[in-house]
Amino acid sequence: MSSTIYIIHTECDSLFQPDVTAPGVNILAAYSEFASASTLLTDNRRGFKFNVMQGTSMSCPHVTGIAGLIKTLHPNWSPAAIKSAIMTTGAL
Amino acid sequence: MSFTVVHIAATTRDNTNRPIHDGFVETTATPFAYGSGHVQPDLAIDPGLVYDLGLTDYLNFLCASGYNQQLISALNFNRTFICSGTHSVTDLNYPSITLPNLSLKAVTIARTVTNVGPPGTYTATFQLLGYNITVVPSSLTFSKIGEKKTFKVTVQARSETKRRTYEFGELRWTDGKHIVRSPITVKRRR
Repeated sequence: MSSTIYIIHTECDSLFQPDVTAPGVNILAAYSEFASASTLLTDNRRGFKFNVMQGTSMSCPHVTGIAGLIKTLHPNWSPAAIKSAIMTTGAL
Repeated sequence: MSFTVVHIAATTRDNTNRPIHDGFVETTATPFAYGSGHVQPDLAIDPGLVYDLGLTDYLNFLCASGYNQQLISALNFNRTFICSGTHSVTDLNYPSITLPNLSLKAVTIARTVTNVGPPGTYTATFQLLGYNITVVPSSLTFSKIGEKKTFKVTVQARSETKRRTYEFGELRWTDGKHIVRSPITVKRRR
């Protein structure tokens, strides 16, 4: 879990791949105060507003935020144009 | 200065300076995992050119994918949509280019870019190891915002090209300020 990114291996013949990646490892995320720190039911450490989490669920809000930023600056751009802007400016 | 050096060296490496690897299996990641790269909000708000798509483009893609008219019309807000003309799935105006089923026969795909920046001339650079690739035209001039230009990319496997394995390349359009980069992903099957 040292990688800066979190990815799912998707080597399939989809014409919609590749697209982009976004940070998804060791992300400080909002957290339910009812959930235990480890998500295990036997873990009694509860009441945290934030937790460090991993996964595409962490990557997704980064991309969503950028989509919202672009839509705010360019309200007449289509969803495809916004996705294009995010994809063609990605950095390796 | 040291930051710049680290930044350049870090291109396909993670925060431990190892090649980016898959989240589940310990294999080195490919563009199927990291796509066209890490999102860059500061660049994304000013991309220069975009690959745009509208409802009709998606419906024509479904036509080319072999969906029947009834299903396609259901996705067209229940309004009848008649598939007409010849559409190829690989012509969907998507910002990456994937050709998973190449033979020795050359395949030509079309893309249309829309100018969303200042007037200017973009030139194409591309690379795809082991394949012949051409982009026509290799230069596109835009005089206003919203202007669209179409280009064609032709890819052909060579007799020595490895089969059943993906090769990764890229196409860049640049006006000197913007870089509009698309990953290219191809596989020779026969």
